[in-house]
Amino acid sequence: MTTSSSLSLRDRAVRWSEEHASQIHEVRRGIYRFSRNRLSVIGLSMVIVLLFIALTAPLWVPYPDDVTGDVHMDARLKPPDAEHLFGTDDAGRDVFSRTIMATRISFQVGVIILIVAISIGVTLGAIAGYFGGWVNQIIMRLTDVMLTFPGIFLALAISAALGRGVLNATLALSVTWWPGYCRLVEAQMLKMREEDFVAGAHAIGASNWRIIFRHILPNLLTAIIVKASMDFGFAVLNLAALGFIGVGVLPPEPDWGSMISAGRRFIPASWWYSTFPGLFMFITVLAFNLLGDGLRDLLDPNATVRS
Amino acid sequence: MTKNKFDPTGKILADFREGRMDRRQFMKLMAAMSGGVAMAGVPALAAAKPARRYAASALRQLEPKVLVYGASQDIATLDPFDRTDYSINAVIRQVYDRLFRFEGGWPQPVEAGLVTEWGVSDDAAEWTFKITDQAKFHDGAPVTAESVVFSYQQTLRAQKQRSSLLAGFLDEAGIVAKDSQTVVMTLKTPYASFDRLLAFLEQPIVNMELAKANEVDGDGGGAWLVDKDAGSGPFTVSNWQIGSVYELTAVEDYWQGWPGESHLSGVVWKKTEDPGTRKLGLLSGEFDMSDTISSSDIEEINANPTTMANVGYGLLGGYLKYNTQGGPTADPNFRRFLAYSFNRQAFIDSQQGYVKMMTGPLPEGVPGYDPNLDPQYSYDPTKAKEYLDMTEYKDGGISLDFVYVSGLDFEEAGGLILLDELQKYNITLNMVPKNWPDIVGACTTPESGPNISFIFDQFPPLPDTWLIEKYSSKSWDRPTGGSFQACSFYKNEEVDGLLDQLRTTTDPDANAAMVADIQKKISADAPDMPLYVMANVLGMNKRVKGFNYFGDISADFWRLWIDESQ
Amino acid sequence: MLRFIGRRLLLIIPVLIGLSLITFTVSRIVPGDPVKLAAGSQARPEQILKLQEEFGLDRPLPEQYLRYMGGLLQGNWGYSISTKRAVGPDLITYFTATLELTLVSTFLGLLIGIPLAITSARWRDRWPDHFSRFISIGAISVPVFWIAIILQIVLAQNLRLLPVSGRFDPRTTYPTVYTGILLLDSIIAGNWQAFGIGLRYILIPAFCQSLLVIALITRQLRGDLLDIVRKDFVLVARANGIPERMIWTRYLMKNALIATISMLGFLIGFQLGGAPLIEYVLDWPGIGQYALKAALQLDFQPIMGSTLFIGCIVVAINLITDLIYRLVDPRIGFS
Repeated sequence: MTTSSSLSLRDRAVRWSEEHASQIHEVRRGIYRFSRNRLSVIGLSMVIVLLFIALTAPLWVPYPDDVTGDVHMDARLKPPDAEHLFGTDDAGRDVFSRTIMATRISFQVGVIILIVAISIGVTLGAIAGYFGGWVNQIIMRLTDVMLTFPGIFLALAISAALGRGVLNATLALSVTWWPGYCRLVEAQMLKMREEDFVAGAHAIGASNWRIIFRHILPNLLTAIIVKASMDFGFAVLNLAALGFIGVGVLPPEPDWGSMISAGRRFIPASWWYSTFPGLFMFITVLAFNLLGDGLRDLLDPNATVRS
Repeated sequence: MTKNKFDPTGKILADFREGRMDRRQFMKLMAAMSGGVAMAGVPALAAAKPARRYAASALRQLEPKVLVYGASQDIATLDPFDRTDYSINAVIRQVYDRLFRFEGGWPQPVEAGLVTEWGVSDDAAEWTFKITDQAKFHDGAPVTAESVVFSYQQTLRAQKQRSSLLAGFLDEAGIVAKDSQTVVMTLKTPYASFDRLLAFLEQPIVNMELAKANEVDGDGGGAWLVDKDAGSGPFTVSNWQIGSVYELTAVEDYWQGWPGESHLSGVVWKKTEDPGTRKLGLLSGEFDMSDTISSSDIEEINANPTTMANVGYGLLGGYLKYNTQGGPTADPNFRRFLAYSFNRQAFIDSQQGYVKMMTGPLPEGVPGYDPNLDPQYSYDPTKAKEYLDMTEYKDGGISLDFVYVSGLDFEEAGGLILLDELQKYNITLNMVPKNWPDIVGACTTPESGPNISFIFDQFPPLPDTWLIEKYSSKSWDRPTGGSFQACSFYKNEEVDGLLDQLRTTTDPDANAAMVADIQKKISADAPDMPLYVMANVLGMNKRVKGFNYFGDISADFWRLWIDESQ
Repeated sequence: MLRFIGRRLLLIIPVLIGLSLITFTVSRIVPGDPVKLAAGSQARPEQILKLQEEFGLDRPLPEQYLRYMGGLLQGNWGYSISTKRAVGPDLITYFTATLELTLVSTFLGLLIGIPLAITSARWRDRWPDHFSRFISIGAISVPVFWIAIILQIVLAQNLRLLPVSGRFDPRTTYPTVYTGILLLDSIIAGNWQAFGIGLRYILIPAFCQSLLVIALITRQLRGDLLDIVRKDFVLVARANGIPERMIWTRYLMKNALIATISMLGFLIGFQLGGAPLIEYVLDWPGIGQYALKAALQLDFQPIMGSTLFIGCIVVAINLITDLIYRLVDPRIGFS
């Protein structure tokens, strides 16, 4: 029974690949082009390593208790050594453990921000672009308002008003992040609703929602993914910025921004305290930007592969 | 800029004016403009080059006796009727004279300022002050009793923050000028320590003629005085541009003279809110003085050959205030458990030892302070457990909010130490950093009051003020709600009764006995955890001489001078 | 063209009203009590009531909003509860500092960004391209507040090449104020010493700020150049044997720069919104620092004021950019 099912699976796979030969060719071409760009490949590998770190961190950080609330005031600001790779902070906690665990928290927050922002942005953008008219006017003027205003201020004002905490910071950043997606989707939508296949779908009686979600949005997926891959780094950066100002995650939870801000008081004597979190943050943002840059190049219809 | 012979932009600009502009020319214009900016940059770089070795000594030649002060706070206003921040007071103290000087060391003695002699009636209600005939305002007019009366009355009229304590004893009609050099103040309620209160409040004496000449809507010239001066002090306001420049210039022939070997020719107040930058400015020689230095920077500043840090303790006491009206902290035994649970040594370590731990409600320096108060709490896990077992929370499983001011690392350290300890009893401490306005708002009623809040209090060195503002139920159980000082919402009828009598008990011995008694009763109830008196750390360059700590965050610039040989 | 401007101006009104509503909601629905804070710890009840009345905070929220907007229409930007100062003049003072920072950082950004972009496009997919792309991606990935700290430590504290923070040397006389832009003021006054000092103070903040400009300009210009390089007229030029160097300077740069203008407009508008982090770390007295402080102190009229002010600036810059773009590129009309 197992053999028969695996055989049929293989058959189906073969059939599928024959049916989708052109798409597969596209993907192969894309992978080839992507691999030509060394920076993007570096970015991708860095992202993979960072993801691995974020996922497995709780299993192997040397001092997990230092992340959840232990303090050792008698071991403050110890320089890096074998015991504490990145030294200790002003409460005697292991900077390495905290920096690593901060990666995890940043990734969680980054993912949530993007999911919320994309959900809001794509939905509003799709509605605005598809229906046009006054619906479009209302939504896009709102988007204009949000885009006009430097996001960090609004995020700051919201978190200052709601109080500090991961949840509030995430909310504040999500609220300021959706307009970009809204505009992206709306512009594409305006173009696409004039296309033949949409008219065709209409003709055979498909509902508006079905057309938006089944026919149009999948075509925008790549554009959204590329934007998201670049945005992820910035979402992480903005969370750290909130932490730096003092409205980010709550202690004792670690966060790069608040570590940098706390550590700078001890520079240069205890340079390790804010240097390592800063470096980690830089590497993370850089990794996602390199990746996103490479992905965007792929989407650029004019980009050619030189053989 | 002088006109160059080579002028490629001239023609293009002419074309542009006459409408002969196409895209090619537009691009040329852009190119010419960026070229122009680049060329302007070259001489600038050249000019900047000789000063490459950026050192204070090079700039010192420009203004050798001006002191540059790196301050943690901005000076929003110089309105003498509405002074709140230490920064405002630090400058107003230099520009205006007060009845008393209050800055000749610590603990503060009351020294005569504009007052040459003063006396009080036997019932401690009528106070008479003789004003010197030597003092002159900066416009040359003599300082008279009328100006003193006007200054106090206007402060009471303006009803701003600084008038609160005064208004409890005095109203406008109670201040009278008997002759040109005599002021009489008649109190609503007798108060034996009124002169000390006046000294602490430091009401600046304002030039009445000048202020009235610029009066708008009965503000006594307050709006005009926001960035101007109408004082008689050792310095005048010379250049005042909010947000960027604050400059004072010395009055060479100041009526009281200058106490030092020499004196400053001016002061520049440089607002630098970031503590790291304040430290760097001091180390690099850009600042001669920086206030509110973090305790972790003291060592570095002292190790630097040209700088030193002065650590002084004033009257800024830090308390962990428990909400005694609700939640687990309503149980006195739970509060005692907390008091015995706080690892004080860890806290001292976290502040590099630059703390003065408190033993009871009153900090050292306030009369009545008792170093051997009983009961006195210390870190004692055994006793803590005993008290916890007397409560319904002996198995833990509860969580408490620890509210503190966002960004204050010493408050955060206190919370983390408590959090670490409470984990052992299965009690969760939620760290809740908030903005200061939030905390002030939360302290209004017991319902909105946090379980535990880390709050700093500062009052005049008069025990009655401390005890009444913090522990009388009248300070929170009232229509407008509580102040942040009363954030433990303490209500003990016996203590309330004693506090009511405290100010009217004029006999010094009886008063002192009452103060001691009240402290004992409060300490036994543990409505808060008196933790420590914060150090005022002032970093300074060793060139600066004449510094004398007087319990303030800032310095008295009048006493300072710069040793130019260093 | 006038109709175009008119229509765009009309569209700005709902945007600004929306912005003011959002900010008002955010800044007024807060748990804190700014009045109690301003009144002080020992405030007596009548003092609190007096202040509440002064700021109109005893009235219902919609009325507060309408009163504020009404005042705004008469040019009254309100008062700060914490500084007791009028918001309007303060905004102007702080804004000129941001304007100065923006101009210098944009100049720096172009100075570095344009050569990077050309190198990148000229040697696409070879090491100069990798290098300059790495620089531009790196520039946008660096947390500005971190790099500002590092530069402060290295350049100001250790090497003592540049001042630690601030806008001007407190010991030197401030040049006469004509425009509020310090560097420009010292040029007008012919005060080269002041110019040199001002320049040293602005270098670190301007450099930190210019990282964004470098990154975006390089990216945009590189893309544009690569676009144009495949256009027919370039191919024709090549085929006609016009030297490669001339093709780049004459044909490519000119066309690519036009497209870059719109990006530049966006960048200037964005920067004029203030750079709260840089301004906070390096104590640059700009509008970002002002707004940041207002937000942290829940000081609602300054929050409203700075938000709307920044909003107006950004909208105005967008409009101007659009106009220039349309003027320069005749293919896009004013319809």
